[in-house]
Amino acid sequence: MARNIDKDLSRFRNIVRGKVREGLRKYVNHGEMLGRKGKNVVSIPVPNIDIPRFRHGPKGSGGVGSGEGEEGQSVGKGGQQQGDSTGAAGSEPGGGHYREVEVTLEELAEMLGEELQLPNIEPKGTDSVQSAKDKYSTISQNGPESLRHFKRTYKRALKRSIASNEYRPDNPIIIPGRQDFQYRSWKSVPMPQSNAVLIYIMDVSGSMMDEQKEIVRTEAFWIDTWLRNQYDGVETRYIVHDAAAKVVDEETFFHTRESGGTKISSAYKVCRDLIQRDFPPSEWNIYCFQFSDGDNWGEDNGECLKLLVDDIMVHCNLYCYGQVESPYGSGDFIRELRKLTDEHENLILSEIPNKDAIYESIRTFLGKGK
Amino acid sequence: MNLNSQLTDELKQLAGFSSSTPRRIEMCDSDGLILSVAVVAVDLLSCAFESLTLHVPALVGNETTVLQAWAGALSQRVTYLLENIGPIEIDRSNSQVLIRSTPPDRSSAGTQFYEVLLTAQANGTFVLRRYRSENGQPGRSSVDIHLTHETLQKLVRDLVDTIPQSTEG
Repeated sequence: MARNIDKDLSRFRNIVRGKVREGLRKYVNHGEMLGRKGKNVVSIPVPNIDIPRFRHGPKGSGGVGSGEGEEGQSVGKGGQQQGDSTGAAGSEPGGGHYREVEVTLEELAEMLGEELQLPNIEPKGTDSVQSAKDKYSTISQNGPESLRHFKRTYKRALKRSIASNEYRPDNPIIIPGRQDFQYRSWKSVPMPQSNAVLIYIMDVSGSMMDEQKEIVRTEAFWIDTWLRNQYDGVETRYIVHDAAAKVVDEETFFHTRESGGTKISSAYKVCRDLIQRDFPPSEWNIYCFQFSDGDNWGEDNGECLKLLVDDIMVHCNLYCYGQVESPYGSGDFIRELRKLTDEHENLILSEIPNKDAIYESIRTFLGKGK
Repeated sequence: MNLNSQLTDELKQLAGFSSSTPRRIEMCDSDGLILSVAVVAVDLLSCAFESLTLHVPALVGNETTVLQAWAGALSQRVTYLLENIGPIEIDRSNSQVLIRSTPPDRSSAGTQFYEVLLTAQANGTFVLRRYRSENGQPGRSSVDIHLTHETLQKLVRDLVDTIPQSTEG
């Protein structure tokens, strides 16, 4: 039977979800508002929720239906009216208080999908690759001695002994027979195998300042949240580059600060090798997200386009390029990539001049449902 | 005859010159330094140019640390342009250092900044240009640099004075 408290809790959760949804654009654009709580939960500050409550007037002040008055007379505002209506403004800023609410990443991804009207991703090739994993969760009559379940075996022997009237309370010796033996056994459980890989590529050259990296971090978080919601398992790889590129861990990806030049082709070569070595395109859904200020050095653009077309984009579900604006403006590289968009549907380009553009950029990247 | 004297003579000769196509004037001194300026307009007091290049043969094949030293010295010395300059990117594999305005000049219309590329490859060069990028538009375009004759001469003098000692040989 459902308890009243459950209904109230469910209603409260819906209200909280509504508040989160109202402010989703703000949370997306300003990722620092989200606090990580464990692996799958984030805490979000939402405006305080007014919970209806009784308000009591001063004692003995009467109320509706008591005291003097004629029938039909307006009740007006009860209680005592103190002071005049004019008053000085408060000295503290308004805006109220905030309450931290915990939301799972799954819920967050759902909200993001609904708000941005993102279509579900359609996996290519081997739809949802799965592998079987053995779990020792059942009991069998046969098995190796090493898997014998002593407690169950004993209980079974005891039951048999009692049922056959062999049990003597004054001499409670139980000798399990072959028919009593119980063994731990396994069941094959289909386990999702990681079948999507997200490859993030970030330009960390000297012209990419902390603000640009923060934009990348925030956008990557939301993309990651959405795609993890779409696939059973997701692998993530991070590549950073200046004039040279390397595969790094997540921590390094988001916090490294280099000062080298910009050679985007170096990152493309590492990405190509990574795909060839670890992620056969026939088995993996490959998503690449590249972020740069587009200020590529020298004559590198030609080599970049060749690598991208011949070795990377042919294997990718999506290749997304986000060009963030550095203090020196936005570079030329996105212009070069625009030449490819007519022939390559899986190439998505987005310009991200500042934090406020993150929301639309995510919609641009993920709105196609590839 | 040093580079500055030659530059002064060239500017005097070019007084009144104005063209949409830059005219390149070149000077060289006894140390092998070659100064090249792509001039767009010159009058009695000032000039506008598209780029200024100084070839320093002694820098060829040097390590990036030598270029870094030059970039540091230039950034401290050249403080009289529209913005201060500072090294932004150091590319060790290509022996290049990129110097830009720090910070660039930002306005509602867009951003303008100086860019200096120091390289130890080919001829060993210093190239100064100025760029403008419009807000929200990818790419940038080159804009002319306007300096008085006096400032240009000071710039050339500072460039020559700050050239670091080569580590080669």
